[in-house]
Amino acid sequence: MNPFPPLDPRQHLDPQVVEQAMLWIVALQSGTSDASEHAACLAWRRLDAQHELAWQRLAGLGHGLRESAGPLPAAGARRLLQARGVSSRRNVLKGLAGLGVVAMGGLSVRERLLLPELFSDYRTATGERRDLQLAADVRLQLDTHTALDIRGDAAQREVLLSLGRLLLEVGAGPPLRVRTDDGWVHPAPWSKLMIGLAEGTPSGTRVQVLQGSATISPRHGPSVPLAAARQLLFDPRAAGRIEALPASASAWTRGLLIAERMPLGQVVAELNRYRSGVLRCDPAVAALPVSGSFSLDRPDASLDLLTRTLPVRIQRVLGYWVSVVPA
Amino acid sequence: MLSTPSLHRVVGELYAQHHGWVVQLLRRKLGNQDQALDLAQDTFVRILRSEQVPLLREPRAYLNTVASRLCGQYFRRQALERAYLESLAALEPQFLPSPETRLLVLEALDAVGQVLDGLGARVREVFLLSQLDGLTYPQIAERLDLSVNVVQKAMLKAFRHCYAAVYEA
Repeated sequence: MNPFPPLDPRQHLDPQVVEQAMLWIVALQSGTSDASEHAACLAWRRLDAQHELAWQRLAGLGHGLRESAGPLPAAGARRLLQARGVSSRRNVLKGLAGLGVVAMGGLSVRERLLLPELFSDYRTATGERRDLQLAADVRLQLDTHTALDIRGDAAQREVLLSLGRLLLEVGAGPPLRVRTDDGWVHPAPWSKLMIGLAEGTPSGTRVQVLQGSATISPRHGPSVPLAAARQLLFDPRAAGRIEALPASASAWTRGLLIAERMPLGQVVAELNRYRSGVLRCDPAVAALPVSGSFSLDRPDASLDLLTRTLPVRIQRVLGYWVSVVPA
Repeated sequence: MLSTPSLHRVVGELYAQHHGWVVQLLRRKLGNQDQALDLAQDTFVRILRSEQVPLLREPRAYLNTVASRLCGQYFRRQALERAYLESLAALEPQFLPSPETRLLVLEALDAVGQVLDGLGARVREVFLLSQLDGLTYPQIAERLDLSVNVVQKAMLKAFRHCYAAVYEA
């Protein structure tokens, strides 16, 4: 596996162009550049195909580096790379003697080429939540019953969400967007947001911005900006009304459901997503308002909790088919 | 440049005359016969792949250079593996990555390390803080107690080096 696949390797670039591209990338990655510098850099890239290729090659170096860190946290990968840099035979032998093993050493070049690619699909089971460090600047948490694929390239990374919900934190790396059947979500650098597929009516993709901001681009409609502490639902045609984000919206990331006068039917529907088997709520009690905090990791205990404060009881058939019915 | 069959012939002769000597050289450096045999093999493969016929006036000096470079890479790789194993030792068993994943991580990091080889520790740290951690230059400057100007120069140096390693090798 080569983390630095050369981009169009036969094309020789004028060293002066490469040098100029380096000045641009260093200026833009400094974290102190403004919008006008970004625009000027973009104009320079569009001036000549060589400019663009030089830019892409340099951006690709950083991308390759982050890719290679894979699931490791940035600090860990950095420490390992520094440790590799200061090797000496004595240290190595000492270290290996301490461990008593020589692990994975001395693979031949031929064997190295036969290794499979890193998998790119992630999935959670019902009731499972999972953290993922996609790159140094991209952290994800997958909610229960969620599926996503990683797509794109150095210039445009893409997370394809096909099921469930995720929490996304991005730093200042190359652009990243999230795609669903409804369209695209483009988080701004240093943003934290939740993106989920809403089933039922109305259906669509729900975007909730906790920090930073994002741009929502419905597949066939105009883009809209979304600021922190705001949420909206969009479908392929248009983005819906922007609403204030309830403080409890991110509770699921901590394994909690926080209800503030939430209809019982909705509470049960939420718990159902974390529980295998059939869980239904009798329409006669579905409108009862519920307040409290419930564990998503132990949905059955949460159901029992409901019976303490509400005039309901839990009817269990074989533990699998569960109904919330009037007491 | 000589044609490929001729390159094969030259390397074949090198192999016949000097393979035993290269193994001995590597065994002294590595202290291990199996590793020495592996790296000796890699030494000749490296020469074949370079597609440049070496000048044969000083074949052993040349072989020594190639073999020593491979040896250095091998030690650096070992240091990386050791650091990685140490970092895994802190993990609960259920979070341990599979052997396949470990190998892929090591391969990828080692390949990155080879591109970074030759950069000083400080330039490398600056580059990694920027590219891996996503820190801004003022943040890196503060963290490493440098001026922003020095950080910027280090970044340019690192980009020049990595570009040359990938595109001008």
